[in-house]
Formats: sequence, C-alpha cells, structure tokens
Amino acid sequence: MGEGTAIRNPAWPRLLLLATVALGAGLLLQRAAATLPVELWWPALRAPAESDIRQAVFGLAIMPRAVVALLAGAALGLAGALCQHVLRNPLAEPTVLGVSAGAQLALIAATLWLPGALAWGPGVPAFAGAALVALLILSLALRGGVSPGAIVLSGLILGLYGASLAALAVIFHRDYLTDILLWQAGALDQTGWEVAFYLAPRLAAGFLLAALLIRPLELLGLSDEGAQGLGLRLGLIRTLTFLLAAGLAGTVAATVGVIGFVGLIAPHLARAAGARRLRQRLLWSPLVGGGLLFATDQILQSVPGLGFIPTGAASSILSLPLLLWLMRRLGASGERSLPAAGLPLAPAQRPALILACLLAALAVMAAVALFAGHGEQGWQWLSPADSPFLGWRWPRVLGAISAGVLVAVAGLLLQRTTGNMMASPELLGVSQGAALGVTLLAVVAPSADGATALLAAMAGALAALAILAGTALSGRLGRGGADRVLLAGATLGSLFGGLATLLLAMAGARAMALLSWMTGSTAQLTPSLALVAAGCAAAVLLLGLAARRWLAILPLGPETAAGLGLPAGRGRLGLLTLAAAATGVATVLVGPLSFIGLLAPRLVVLAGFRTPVQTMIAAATTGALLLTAADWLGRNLIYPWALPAGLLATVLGCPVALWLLLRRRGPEGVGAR
Amino acid sequence: MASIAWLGAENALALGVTPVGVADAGYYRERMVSPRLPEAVPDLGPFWEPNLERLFALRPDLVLVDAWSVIDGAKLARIAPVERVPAYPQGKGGWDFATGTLRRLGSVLQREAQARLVVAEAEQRIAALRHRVDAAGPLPAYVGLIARTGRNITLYGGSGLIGGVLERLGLRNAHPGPFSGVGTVTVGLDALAREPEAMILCIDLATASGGFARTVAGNALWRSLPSVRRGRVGLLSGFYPFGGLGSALHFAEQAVRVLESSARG
Repeated sequence: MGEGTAIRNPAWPRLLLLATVALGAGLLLQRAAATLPVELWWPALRAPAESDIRQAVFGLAIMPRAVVALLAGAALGLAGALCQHVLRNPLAEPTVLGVSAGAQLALIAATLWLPGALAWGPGVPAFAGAALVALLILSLALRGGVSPGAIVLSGLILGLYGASLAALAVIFHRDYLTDILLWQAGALDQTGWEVAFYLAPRLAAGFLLAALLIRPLELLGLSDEGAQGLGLRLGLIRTLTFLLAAGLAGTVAATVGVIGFVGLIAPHLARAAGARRLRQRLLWSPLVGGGLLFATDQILQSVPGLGFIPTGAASSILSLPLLLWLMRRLGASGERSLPAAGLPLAPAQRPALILACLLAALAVMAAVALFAGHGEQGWQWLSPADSPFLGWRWPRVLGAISAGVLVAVAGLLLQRTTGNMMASPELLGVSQGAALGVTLLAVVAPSADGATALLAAMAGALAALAILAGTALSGRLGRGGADRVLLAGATLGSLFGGLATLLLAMAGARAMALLSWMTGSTAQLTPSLALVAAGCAAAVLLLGLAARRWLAILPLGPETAAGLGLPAGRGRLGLLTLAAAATGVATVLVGPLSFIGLLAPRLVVLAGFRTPVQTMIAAATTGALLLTAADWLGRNLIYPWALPAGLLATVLGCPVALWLLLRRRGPEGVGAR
Repeated sequence: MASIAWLGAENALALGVTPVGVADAGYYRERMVSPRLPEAVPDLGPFWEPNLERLFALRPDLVLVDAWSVIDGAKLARIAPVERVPAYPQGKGGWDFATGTLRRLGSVLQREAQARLVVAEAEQRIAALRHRVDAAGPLPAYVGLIARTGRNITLYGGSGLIGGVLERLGLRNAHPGPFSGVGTVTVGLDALAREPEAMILCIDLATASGGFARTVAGNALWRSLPSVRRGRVGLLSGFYPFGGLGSALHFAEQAVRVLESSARG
C-alpha cells in the first residue's frame, strides 16, 4: 500500500521534520522564559504556587498545552498508521473515516440529552460513538472488494452527517453553539493537567496493544491468502486493530475536539522520512504526529493576532498542500482507482409507468406544499384567494423542486462519470466553498445584506470550482483521474467546512442565521431567485440529457469509449464541470447540504431504470420530490418554528443512504469489482 | 408592531410599545430581562427563518428586522412596512449606537418624546453609575462567557455594546483585543491572567444553572487567577451582549455592583 509515497532520499524530510519540531520547541522555551524565570520552572511544574500567577500560567496553561499537543498528535498519528495499514488504504484516518465525528456526536448527544452517560468522564460516550462508526466502516471494508476510495467517501459522508446532526442540536439548544463550534475546531487550551493525565495512560495502553498486534499485523501486510495460510484470524485482528484506532481517536475527540488530518499526514511523513517497515511506522507516525501538532500549536500561538485560531482548524488548513501532494502521487501511481459501477439489477418492468407515477407524486406533493399547511387554527387547506400565503409558498416550492433536480442530476453525473456509487455533490467541495464565502463575509462585513451574501456564496463556490478544475487538469483524466477529483473535492470540502466553522464562532448572533442557511433552508428564496433556479434546473437537465451518449458509454471504460470515437477524458471533464456548476447553483440558492444528490440516483437505479434518459428524468423527479417533501415537513413539523429542508433531508436521508450502502451485495454492491 | 430583531424588540419595549410578536420569544425571555417581554407575546419562530404566515395573522403595523437579515424584504413588505435595525455598531461606540437605534425607532414609531425621555434617563443613570465607579475607584474588566470545558472564554469588547458601556463607565477593557467585527473573541482562559487587578464578569446562562460553578470547580488555573483569588468575579444573569440600551444599563449596573464589592473586598 501507498508505495507511491515512498521517497528515494529520506534525509530531506527528516531534516525538515526536525527543523519544524525544533522551531516549535524554541518558541515554547521562549514563551516559557518570558513568563517565568528559568529557576522557577521546576517548582512551577511540581506544585505551582497559587499566589504566583506566572507559575500558574507556566505550570497550568503553557506546559500542559504543549504536552497535550504532543499526546493528542501522537495518538492520532498512531491511529492513522493503524487505520492505513488495516484498510490498506493510504487515505484512511479517523477524521476522514468519520470515526471522530461519531465520537463527537455521541458526546454532544450525551451532553444534551443523557448527562448521566458522562458520569465516568467524556471518554465513555466518545468511545461508544467512535467504535460504532469504526465497526460500520469495518463491516463495509470486510465485505470484500470494497475499494479504499469508497470507504473514504462513506467516512466523509458520515462526517458530514455528524456536522448536520450537530447543527440540528444547536437549533434547539442555542446556548451550546459556541461550545460545539469550539469542539469542532479543536482548541488545545489547558487550565491544568487533567487532560494530559487523561490522555497519557490511554496513549501508553494504545502503544502496548499496538506492540502486541505488530506480528499479526505484519502478516496482514501480505496478501489475504498468504495470511490465512498462516492460520490467522484476519477478521478478528482487523477488528481489534480498528477498535484500538477508534479508541485513540475517540479519546482525543472527547478531550480536545476534532483535529483533522494529523493522523492522515503523519504516517506518510514518517514513511517519507524512511520508516518503511510496519514496526518503524507504528513508532514514527506517533512521533511525527505529536511533533507536528506541537509545532503547529506553538507557531500559531507565537504569530501575533492568530492566537485565537483553534489548533485543530489550523492544522487542517496547513495540511492542505501536503494532502494535494499526496493525492497527486496516488493519482500518478494509478493503483488506487475506484471501481466501476456494476450493471443494475433486473430492469424495471414498465419504466414509463413508474416514471409517470413519480411525476404524479411530485405534482401531488407540490400541490400539498402549496396549499396545505399548519396555520394559526391548526391544519388548513388554502384557497387560491389567500394570495400572500401562496405568494410566499410558491418560490419555496419551486426553489425546492429546482434544487432537487439540480443536485439529483449532479449526483447522477458524478456517479456515472466516476463510476463511484457514493459520489455525491456534497463531496465536490463546491458547497463548502459557498458556505465559506458567506461566513467570511459575515465576519469581515457584519452589516452586509442578503444580496451581498449571495454574491459571496457564488464567489466561494467559484473558488472551489477553480481549485477543483486545476486538480482535474493537472493530470490525465482517466478513471483514476475522476476519482482524484472527487477525493480532492472531498478534502477541500472538509477544509473549507472546518474554516467556515471557525468563522461561525466569530459571527455573533448571526451565526445561527448562517447555520440555518448552511444546512439548506429555502426561506430566503425570492420569486425572481426561484425563477432563476428553475431556469438553471431546466438547463442542467437538458444538458445532461444531451450528454446521454457519454453517460451510456463512460461506465464501459475508456477503451470502449475510444473505440466508439468518444474522447473519454474530455467527456468526463465536461460532465464533472456540469455537475459542479449545478451543485454551485443549488448551493447558492438553498444552502450546501443534503444527501439528495447521493440518494435520488441510487434509488432510481435500484428501482431498475437503465437507460441514461430514463434514469436522469427519474432521478431528477425523485430529487425534486424528496426536497419538496423535506421543505414542507420542515415548515410544518414544529410550527411556528422551521427546520431547514436540507437538514431534514440529511437527517432522514443519510440513514437510508447507509442502509443502501450496507445492504447491496453481489455485483451491484458499492464498489464491487 | 412585530420584531424579528431582538434589538428592535428591546427598544420597542423601552419605548412602552409591546410587540404583537417577537422572533424566538422563548429564548428572548431567558436572555433579556430588562425590560421584560410579556408572556402573552407570541413566538414568531426562529429569527433566521421567522414564520411569515403567523406574522401575517398577527397583523402588525410595522416589522423590525436585522439589517443583515437574508429574509426577503419584499415578502415582509406585503405584511407591513419594514424597518431595518442595524445590528452592530460600525465606527460608533457601542453606547452611542444603542442610543441612536432607540432614537431612530422612536421617530419611526412617532414616539420621539418618549425616546428622548428614555435616552435622557439612560444618560442620567449611566452618569450616576460613572460617579459610583469614580467613588469606588475604577478597575479594568474582563467581560465574557466561559466555555463548558472551562478552558476557553469568549470575551466581549471592541466596538460592541460591552466595549461602549465600559467606556462610558470609565472602566478599561482588560482584554486588549483584537475583537471580531461584532465585538467578540474566543481565547484560552490564561488570557485572564494578564491583568491581575481586573475584575471578571461572566455571563451565567440559564441552561448552565449551577453550571458556572461546575465549570470552574476543579479548574486549577481559574483558582490561581489573581482576580479570582481577590474575589473580583461577578455573574451576569439575564444578559445578552448584542442588545440595546436596556441591556447596556442592566450590564452597567451589575458591573458597578461587582466593582463596589471588589473595592470593598
């Protein structure tokens, strides 16, 4: 695995790592010396005199923070190395796999609804949540034939789902907003040694268990057949190792929050610095991870004006160049391509009939959304004479239909061009780019109005699109290339999302409004915007239908396409661009998140639609139906309050998506070869 | 009139006008106590997505909405004339901003005389508080909301309301900043160690009742803070840092009370 990341001469990476850690240490010493005379350091560490605040700051804030950074980074490094080895997946890591999100979610849920679960400290619910996700991921991976990319994408989807549920929790518990945002951004500030003392023994136990697992794990590095021949119980070893990684990640998430990408980067840097064998990697990945997080944290505190940025968020941002580099190498090695989608199951008996039913259902749903609703006197059916109500409702209904069509077509295009069944518009990073644009505006110019906010969203989406296009053009765009675009987009999305979270924490009262938009509300749609949305949806649908030949041929592979005189690379690029543009428009209008782009095409394929034209129309109708229903429910479930349509669709839709993911077996299953 | 903007609702109540509806009314009653919102005032739903249909049914003659709101003004205009309330002081000090928004609402509601009266009374009260500050001897002040972990604190100041009130009281903000555009910054608890003389004013949220004590219990750094050791800590109850003149005075009074007990202690 990951041989593509090995570097010929490990001296340079070693030197660079050493210099970084030395810089961090230098900064720490400087800060410590500026706080407290050196001769008082030891007494301040042993028992800081409460009467001397310098000793307290040195012994209870500066030093514990440095130690926590080292411990948390090491735990994540170890967890990352274990994940990557067990899944044979160079991109696996607790944050990427959604394990940290699971821990965080369980913690939020426990804090809000089950405080009793916290009786034994935050570690218990955190581990439960992390372990649950880990087992889910593992059951996917062990299904056999599931590609690394598919696993990473499912993990990222779980991560997005976690963020949505956190947003839902915050809507009903506003006082927790700052706390949850701080958690998501990973703040390392300390006020004593509790966190360090909590982490240290657990990390030590992790090392011990990892040491016990080294021999079986080394054999796991061989092919499955070879390892089985040696009498290994593969499943058990994998499960244990994965639970260990989840435990480490959960412990970190419980104490300092989500710290992205350290666990992903550290093992690769360790390898680049010459740690080739597993036992070397299991030793050096934690060391590199700890050093990296420590240095990042120290540098962050030393740059004037940046001290308020939580370290977790900063480390994600700093990892971006490393990640892009990593993905280039993986793409170039060409071995990590995601699998093609198999042929659908038995074709639908009467596709035209099903399609007609879908369209009729959409018409009924639209009528219900327009005319029926909770009012001051309970449930009401409006007459067309109640004009202002209809005047407010139709832009939302039309907007929901249009956005549903846009994301469903985008999802279908992505799934067809990448051949990856978990490909979803949320994973392009375009949505998070738009979210970042809006939050940035809210912080820089708090008084800007709604129209400016739309422009900012568009600018953010375009920026993400540009980066994505750059990634796509930087290499040949074969099947692996499309995967690379998806992975790059997903990574970009996590980073942008993290940044937006960070900015949200600074947006004051406005944060809630931003959060509502970011979770997909149709509330701010004006009649003219709704008409624009409808126009865009129609255009995208027509363009998608016009590309039906490509959609039919691309899944068959580039050779077939070339044989038919169609340049596969250019076709893919065009379709990806169309998908990204559709996502961008939908995002700007109704916010970035919903799993409809993932769900609608999947459901349609499961229903047995085969030809691109039928599939696309059915998917678009399904998408519109789902989003219209979610919007209507969101407006009426907790009248006079409202739940954003995208959030509702996510909360209801994600379990369905995971169920689809887990239930399909055989040739049509996710990522089956 | 109805208010989707909390600042607008607070100002209207100060002018003796009870809104027919307020966005997020339940949470408003938790966070804003001065002046109190009558229990009978219905909830308009969340301020980020108010329920237009309920708003319509309430037949307001005016709708107040935050200037930054993404709610479509044309939709609101079908219900009633819309007045946009600036949410954050820009350039102006927080105090002048608060009096300015009140006067502005006074003229919109044709209650200029009432507005003048309220502002004059507020100026009088803040001047009296300023005298008490001078008598007790001013201290620098941290104003913030401690995170549930007890490891971070969101501090207020800068061009926000708190910054303005501290200025009027002749109290220096103990945190040098920088603050975000809305007047907040989230920092580590060790930031409170910089000014040993300062008093610390913490917002105590109703949801965390008993929570503040629990948050700082066993927090070694908190116990070591000079301000804490001197007992210069005050809890701000029922307080919202993005409110108007009523919130400002409510805060100023609590701040001066803490100052006086700190000076005595």
